[in-house]
Amino acid sequence: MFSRLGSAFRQNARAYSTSAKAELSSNTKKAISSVVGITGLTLGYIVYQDSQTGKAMTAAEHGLQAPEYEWSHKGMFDSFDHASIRRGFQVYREVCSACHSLDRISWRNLVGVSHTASEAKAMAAEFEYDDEPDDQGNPRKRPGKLTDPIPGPYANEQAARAANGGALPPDLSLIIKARHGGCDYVFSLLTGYPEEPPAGVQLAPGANYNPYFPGGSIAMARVLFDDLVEYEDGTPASTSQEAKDVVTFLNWCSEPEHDERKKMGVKALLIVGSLYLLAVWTKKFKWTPIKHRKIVFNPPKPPKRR
Amino acid sequence: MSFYSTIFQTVFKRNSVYVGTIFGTAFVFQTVFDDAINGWWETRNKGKLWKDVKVKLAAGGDADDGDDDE
Repeated sequence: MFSRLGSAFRQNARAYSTSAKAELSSNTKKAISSVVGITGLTLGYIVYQDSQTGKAMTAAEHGLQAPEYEWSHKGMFDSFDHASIRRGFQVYREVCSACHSLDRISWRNLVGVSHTASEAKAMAAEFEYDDEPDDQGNPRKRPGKLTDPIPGPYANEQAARAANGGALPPDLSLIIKARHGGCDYVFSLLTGYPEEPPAGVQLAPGANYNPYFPGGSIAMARVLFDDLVEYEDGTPASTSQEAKDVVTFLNWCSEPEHDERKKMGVKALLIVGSLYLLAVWTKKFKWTPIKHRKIVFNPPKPPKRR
Repeated sequence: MSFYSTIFQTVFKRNSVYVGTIFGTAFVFQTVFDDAINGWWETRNKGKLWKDVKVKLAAGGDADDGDDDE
């Protein structure tokens, strides 16, 4: 196609150069050459930009794009829904914690966020932690305290892999920050398991199909079902409700400073905005005499001649 | 005495008073500003904050069937 275009162009050019040479005004020539130049530059830019990215992966390998959801904490000035964090912790504790650890969260972090101090203490005391050895050097155990981290399900990575067919369940402390799409992705992943993998999809033994997971083949099976947990506040525990609550909880785990940060953001916007206006006003105030002065040239009078 | 000369006589004339006024104003402003923003924040996010949730939990879990925010 380009060669034909090129030959047509050449013929045209020859036609112009031979017969119509004298009739072309210089403005027409300028217009033609500028159109040719702009077209060439644009095409060159497009080809260059296209050469800068490589698309080695198929769409399925990227994973399905998660839809955007209206999270209760999505807005610029919206805090977390702490009732949802509390329900989400219940979901984590009863479902997710069978395989996933939450290493960076301690029991004390829950106090004042989703639980009272006495509730957190009671939950911590249900677990045993290593204590200092006794006088003979024998290891001892003690019940958990507020300052202890929430214990994971496995002692180490090898144990976790051995129990999950070679796959390592990731730590969930920072999972919302650690995945593209954040809340939307994790919610879609949890609720996006189809009944059957689509025709033609080959899965390794023990693997499950989830279109949102990059590659589609995920070791985790669907875990959330309707009425899997019973919420203490009477919220109907549908699959999507459980997923929404646990994602809100995990988002709090990733961003425990979230509420304070947004509140601080309001203050910063107001203060910095006022200071900006003040700076503009000061500049105008200081520059007014300079901008508005008038310089007049008074030529010296020519000396009188006699 | 005009407004500007009053200001000058009371605040700007002595450096000690001037600096003291700056510190005092900053102290008062911060308190008032923080309280205002906190109040606005808590009104805007009413029902979602832990202090509201805590009250609801203490009142009994079944009281909030209607206004559960999803």
